[in-house]
Amino acid sequence: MEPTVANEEPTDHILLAAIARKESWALSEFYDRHAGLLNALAYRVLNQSQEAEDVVQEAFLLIWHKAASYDPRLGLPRTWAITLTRNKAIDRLRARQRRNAIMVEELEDAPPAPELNTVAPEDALDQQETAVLVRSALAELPQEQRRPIELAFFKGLTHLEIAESLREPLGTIKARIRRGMLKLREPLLGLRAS
Amino acid sequence: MIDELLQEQAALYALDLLVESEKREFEQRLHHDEALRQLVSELQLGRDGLALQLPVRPPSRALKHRILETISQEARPTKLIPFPTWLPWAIAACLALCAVIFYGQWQTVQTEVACLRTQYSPDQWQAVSLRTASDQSSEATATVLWNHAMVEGKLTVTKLPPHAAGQDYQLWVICSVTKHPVNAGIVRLNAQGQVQMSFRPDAKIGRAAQFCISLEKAGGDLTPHGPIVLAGVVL
Repeated sequence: MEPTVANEEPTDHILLAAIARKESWALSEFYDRHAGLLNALAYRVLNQSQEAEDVVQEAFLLIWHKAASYDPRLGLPRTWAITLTRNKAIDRLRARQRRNAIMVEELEDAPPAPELNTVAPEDALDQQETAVLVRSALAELPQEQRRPIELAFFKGLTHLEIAESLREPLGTIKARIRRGMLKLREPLLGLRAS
Repeated sequence: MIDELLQEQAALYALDLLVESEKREFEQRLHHDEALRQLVSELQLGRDGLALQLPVRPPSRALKHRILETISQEARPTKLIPFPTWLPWAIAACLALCAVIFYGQWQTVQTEVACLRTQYSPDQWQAVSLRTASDQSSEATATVLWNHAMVEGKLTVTKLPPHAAGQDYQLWVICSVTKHPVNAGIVRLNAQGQVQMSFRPDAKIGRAAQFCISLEKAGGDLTPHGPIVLAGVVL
């Protein structure tokens, strides 16, 4: 079935609701909207094109199957998709690291926690504008705050591993992550306020 | 007001850095703390920004096709193979044929069992001891187990002295009706003068009355001409 409103772009929420009803056009549209972002994220984690695409495929199939259980009150569809993709990519990264015996780390199989987002729907937040703001905020972050955040998000390291990797006390790492994360959200708050 | 420790936990939570127990505890707190929920959602937006600041990297064109093909295959109902109407009849016919074959085999087996029962029934077998007829110093003995129904027997001989070259021991069955000896075969001894052999009379006989072993020319004779070495009467 095609969307009934032809002249208006359906929001991500509408697309996910249609995906939950197994309307494939909605997945196709959601894919066109986010596949580039999700593939970039998977590639940033895995640094391997084919594996990144495999992860994107797994993530979209997961979205197709789990869309019915997605609760819009708990977060943005894009946030949900980013979480699914990032977790899949980190799972693969850890599996690869285990295989290569670089890191012996138990894989946490726990499902991702619900994204608790009580902010008003962010569909109005333009993705490119957000990207510019975050890029700017990241550039302004001191290296000592930026590095542990990136290691956690892109490499899936625990805070203990980050502390070991950067040879800093655990408490220091936690404090830097806190300060860095608070700074990262500031430009987005400004955007929402405007 | 959210203190620094809670802010730190929120930041770690947004980056999925809390261990499982800490995560559960923090999520319980989230349910009751509106301000904390607000902070977490803002931090998650910041975290999403880490992905958003990456240069967009469109996947290969084939990927979308693969995904849509996969979901369309999942949605496609499994093609049902039409059930042929003749199949139950074919199965029934096969079963009937098998039943006929098995019944025939069962009857054959029953017949064979009955035959074997008759053959090996203790009532049908009789032991007959054969003793030396002339030489009292000979230690030779022989026993015939004779089956009247099957008209066959088993001969066991011990300590029969070796015969001269150009001679053979020959077994005879004396018919109770005709009183004629009927050839039952050459008795070939081993080095110890022993033999165990099954035998049947060469010709049809009525009831066996006597068994004897005579010394005949090599290869045996049609009727006994040589001396009787061992003999026994069926009682």
